Amino acid sequence: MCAVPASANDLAVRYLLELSTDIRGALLLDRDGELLATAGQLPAQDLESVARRLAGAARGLSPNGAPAGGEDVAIEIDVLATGGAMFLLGEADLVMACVTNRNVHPGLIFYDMHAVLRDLERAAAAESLREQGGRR
Amino acid sequence: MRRPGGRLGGYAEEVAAAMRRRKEVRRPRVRVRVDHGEARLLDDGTPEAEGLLTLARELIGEPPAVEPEGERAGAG
Repeated sequence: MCAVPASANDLAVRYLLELSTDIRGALLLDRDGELLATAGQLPAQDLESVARRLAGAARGLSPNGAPAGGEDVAIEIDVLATGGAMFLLGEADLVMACVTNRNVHPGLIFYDMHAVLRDLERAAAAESLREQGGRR
Repeated sequence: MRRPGGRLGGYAEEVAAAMRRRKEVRRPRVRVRVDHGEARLLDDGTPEAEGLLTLARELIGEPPAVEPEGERAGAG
């Protein structure tokens, strides 16, 4: 998969926040845990470390330890804590996480996250085609 | 034959059951779904569940050890 411009990643996480007012903050990382974009209310410090640990945790739960989103294995994790909820989706070489309040429907949050990741995948495919066209 | 206080006892049982359900719903939990399959709950106390709960609390901005009653007792 070809990487999209960084601005597309930023737009994607901001779009996720617009899709659902329940989502307080979101972050996008690649399958290795490198932070690509963040939006909304998230702790200011150590986000890179959190991103790496999120990717590692998702990898630990994937079959055969495959990276989340890699090898066409989609993984969805939702964590309910006392003060809110965290959702993580690994799909198409990307991992997206977001935090919400507790009173949300997990299916709806995952639906929005899938939609945003699919858009990013389509954008990457289009970018790849454009680059191939430019080389000719 | 209905025993005295049966209706009151029934209400109390309903309230207690509702409280138990509410407590169960509010309990921290980690759920995983791989490759659009069946969702499964991770057992409490497993390293995976604890790690994800810690990450969630960091992102939510919640203190790692939540013991509000003890803190309140100390503060008050």
